[in-house]
Amino acid sequence: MTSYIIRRLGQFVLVFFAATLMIYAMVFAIPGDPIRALAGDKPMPDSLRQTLTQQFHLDEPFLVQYWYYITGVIQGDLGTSFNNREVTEIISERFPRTLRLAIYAFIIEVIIGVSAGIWAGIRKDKFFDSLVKVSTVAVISVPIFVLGFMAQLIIGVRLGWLPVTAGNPPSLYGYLLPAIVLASVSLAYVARLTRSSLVENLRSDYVRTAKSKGLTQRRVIGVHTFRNSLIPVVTFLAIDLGALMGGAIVTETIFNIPGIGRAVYEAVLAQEGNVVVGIVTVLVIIYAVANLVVDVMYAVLDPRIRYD
Amino acid sequence: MKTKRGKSALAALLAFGLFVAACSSGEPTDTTEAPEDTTATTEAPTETTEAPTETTEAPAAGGGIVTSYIGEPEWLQPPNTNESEGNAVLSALFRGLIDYNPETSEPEFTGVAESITSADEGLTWDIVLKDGWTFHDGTPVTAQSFVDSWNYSAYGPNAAQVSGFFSSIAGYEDLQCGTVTEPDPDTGEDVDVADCEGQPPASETMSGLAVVDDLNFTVTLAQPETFFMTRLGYTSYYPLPEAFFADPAAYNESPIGNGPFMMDGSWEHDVEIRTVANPDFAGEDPAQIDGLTFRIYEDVNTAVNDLMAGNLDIVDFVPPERVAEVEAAVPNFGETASSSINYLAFPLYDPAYQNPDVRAALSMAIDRETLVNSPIFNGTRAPAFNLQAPVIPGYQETVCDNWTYNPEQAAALWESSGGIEGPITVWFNSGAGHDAWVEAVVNMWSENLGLDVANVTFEQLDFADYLPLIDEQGMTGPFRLGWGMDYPHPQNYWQLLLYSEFVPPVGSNSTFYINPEFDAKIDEANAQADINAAIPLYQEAAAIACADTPLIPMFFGLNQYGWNDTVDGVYVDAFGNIVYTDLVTTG
Repeated sequence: MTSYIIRRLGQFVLVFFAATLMIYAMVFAIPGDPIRALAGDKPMPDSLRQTLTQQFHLDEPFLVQYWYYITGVIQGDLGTSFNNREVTEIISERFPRTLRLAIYAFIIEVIIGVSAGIWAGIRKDKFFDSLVKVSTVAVISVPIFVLGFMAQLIIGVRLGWLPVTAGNPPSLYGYLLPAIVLASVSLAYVARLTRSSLVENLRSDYVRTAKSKGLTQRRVIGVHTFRNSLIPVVTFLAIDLGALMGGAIVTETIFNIPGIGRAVYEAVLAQEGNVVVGIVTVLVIIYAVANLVVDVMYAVLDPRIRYD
Repeated sequence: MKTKRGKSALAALLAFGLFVAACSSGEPTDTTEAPEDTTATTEAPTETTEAPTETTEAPAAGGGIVTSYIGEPEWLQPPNTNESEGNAVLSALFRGLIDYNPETSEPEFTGVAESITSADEGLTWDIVLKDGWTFHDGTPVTAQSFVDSWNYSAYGPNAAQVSGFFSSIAGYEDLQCGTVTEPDPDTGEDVDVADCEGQPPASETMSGLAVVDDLNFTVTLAQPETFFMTRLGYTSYYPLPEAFFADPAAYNESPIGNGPFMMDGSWEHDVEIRTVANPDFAGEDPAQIDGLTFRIYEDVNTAVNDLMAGNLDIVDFVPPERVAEVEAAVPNFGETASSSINYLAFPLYDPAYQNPDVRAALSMAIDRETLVNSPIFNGTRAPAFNLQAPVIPGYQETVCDNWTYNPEQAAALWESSGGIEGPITVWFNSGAGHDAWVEAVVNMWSENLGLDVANVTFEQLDFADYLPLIDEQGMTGPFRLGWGMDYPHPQNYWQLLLYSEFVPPVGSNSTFYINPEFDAKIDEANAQADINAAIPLYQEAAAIACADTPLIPMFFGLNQYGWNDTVDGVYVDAFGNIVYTDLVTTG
């Protein structure tokens, strides 16, 4: 197992270079002159435009630009944004906020999603099962920005039950509503996935055998069905942790949590290659780590899976 | 992400999201009691959370901390601030040589300058400062503070965003980097590029700036400019303390100004900027509140929600689609004129748009009044029949018939001139909400000129794509542009936008309009020392431009803002900034 993990970690280096190169190339491929855009409707003197263009190496061919970037990265310098802020500083300020939001959302998703799924699975075709099925479809089909704005306006502004924005300094309470909104869609998927996986396993031969041996319902489900029903759910959850962070743009914007989602969005619009590559690379690494955790978890959940 | 289309789609998706959400939020908020209720139950009022620092004096009546909406500024230092968010903060932290009357926008000597005079019709200016002004760090504001600031901004290798503002001062050219001729990597053509390493500027100081003594300096311009004094209240011309030059990057995090408010701690990026009243402010209009906190929001819609819930005192920019909602749900709502205008420019270099009758027909076929009152704007814009904003001296409601609505004459001109054969492309920058009104304009053309809508294509690009293309004469049909004043003077509109020498990149004459008669009139107007003598001449120049119709004025911006009962004295000036020194808290 240890050697497997070390081997996988070694692959991360490759993933890192491939990811930075690809993202850099994508930003490079966006047409237009981001420096000229800094002045907007106003005129920009030629000398200023050229000085800034050279400062950010935007007049160089792609590979030269990438070389400047990657040599900087190796020395721990992720470059600066157009307004002279260190990318490392932007990431270290914004990333913890996104991580915090994602973790809260993740906890909500796991607790509510898995328990709702199990309950619905056990009580298949009963009222609670139908309720879960209908409500999850409803949540999945409503776009998150609608969900977010409605939740903010109704629960935050009109009813005043929860804060409208996360606040400063942000409190656990302030993060609650955005975390629920962010978790909602994934939560619905988790519930449905858990339910169907459990229902399927409950029909399998070994469950029938266990039941006919006279084991209690609690033991049949808790020991024999629950763990292996979780395999598809864990796969989804691990990938979803990355997706929660990358996909938090809308939630972060609505609830004014200055995380990395919005930073990437604005950096793409402004064609700030350094910022985009820096943040997206961090996300790529998180995905890679999450994937590794999933693979290790498989072995824990299902003894038949071995990595040797 | 790869193509411009992709990016636009991303922006459109988000914009759509906001739109849908804004629509859906329309009706539930007609209960005005809601905000008061929520104040009590949600967050504690800001006064208690933001304890004023020990350095401030005992709170005066009407004191307390006021919170105001802002977007994340790009920079917080005069040499690089060229956008509204940074401007707003700096206007609280600084006071320039002059200031502008909030209502009339006229220059007033409520700033550092005792007098600004020119004995030779605007070529050299003698600036005398008032004694006793200090920066927030206690150092005195001297003539040198201004001269050093301006030289820093003008110096090429510093790559200051506002560098261009100093180009009219004698010796500006000596501070720019030399150029080398290199083949362009895309086209292979030889182009001149700045070469700051190989050919650094000849000088670090402009020859036109001379310090006489601590409280007196002179400015020599390259050409006479009678309105030079009017410029001097703008952000770019603020003085800088010595601390700036020691470490501009550190300064940016905690800027030291000379204004009514001073920083309380550092700029907390993307979260908030806290300021407190400056107890040593030397101006006549000190802050009346203990402090002002700029709350940074990524989306103004969130700020509007916080305003409605009573968590925020002021939102100085309410998006048009939420004005009705804010008027209903927030105790106070204000509307003032702004200096901004949106216009459709013609590519005068394109053969299809060289007939002035064609341009006049397109202009006269647009019913601006109906447009601004349509559901697109709901009256949140003012129709423009003039290029210069109403807040600028010498404004006339109409300039000439070509910039008014006259469907019969438009149709007749379109007919007699032969109109435009073949497809028409209309250009605008994407992601800024211009789609709807540009489409409405095309529908009006179709209705009044019989133009076939199927023949019209829309080309929307990001600014990064759009602006360079405009500068390179790449437009093939009417294109949308906007303008807001740098200083309240007609010259800032007419000359910058239409003078022949001010084609990009020197100025913003993006239509490449060239009319020697117009230029001569502008020159004559610029030479008048008395603004009252100059105004009729600018109006004559305006009439010349209107007759040629190089562009179509569409609508003027309005400042729409809302505030809660916790604060009073809220007024947004023509620059779009709150008059921070007028703010008082209530109760």
